[in-house]
Amino acid sequence: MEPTTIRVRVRCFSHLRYELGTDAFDLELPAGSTLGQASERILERAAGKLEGLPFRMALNGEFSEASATLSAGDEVALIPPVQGG
Amino acid sequence: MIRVAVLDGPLPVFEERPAPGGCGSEIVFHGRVRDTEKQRPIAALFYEHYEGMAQRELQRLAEQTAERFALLDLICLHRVGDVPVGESSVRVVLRSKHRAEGIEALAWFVRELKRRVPIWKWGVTPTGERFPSTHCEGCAAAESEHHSHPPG
Repeated sequence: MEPTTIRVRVRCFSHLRYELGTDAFDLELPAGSTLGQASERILERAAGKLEGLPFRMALNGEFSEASATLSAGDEVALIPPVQGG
Repeated sequence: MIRVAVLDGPLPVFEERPAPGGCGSEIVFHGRVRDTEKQRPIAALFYEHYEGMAQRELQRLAEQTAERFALLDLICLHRVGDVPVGESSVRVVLRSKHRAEGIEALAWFVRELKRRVPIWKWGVTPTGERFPSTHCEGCAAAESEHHSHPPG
């Protein structure tokens, strides 16, 4: 029988980590969830702490579209505007 | 040749080596840490990165730059961790047939690096306090509290 939920690891960087108070946490989602749905859950969990803060999403270390389907054990990252150089 | 690296510690100096026969231009760029960040005096910048992804994005960007500007060589070393004022945070060498495409390529490469490679800066004050380089609502609302929080 297929599991009904999956667990992914969420990584947070720069000031987003400060706003969330952690550099990583696990997130449980319904099986078949997309990256966009994970983003919605993360924003709900943040309870307004990420409001107005832009970020992109990465899946397993690659910038990804919101439509990407997640699998158990995936790493999701919140990528605020970068500042290298 | 394309070569990139993300290094924690002082960047090595580029060694002189023979250029390919078709090379008429070699541009060397050292990005250095200024003594102020967001109008505040600093002793260093702390560069945070997303390990693995930063290296891959930098490699991808280097390959795209080389292809777009027909470069012969592109080497980029980016430092992470604490980088004291005056030291190099990034070093780039580009070799091309003519200088024009090399100059244009450097400008494009550095601009894109600042747009897509997951590396972030924190200012480090002379007393060791870290503050985020980016502007955010938290900084505006509670600057002293927010700025006292160091990266992990």
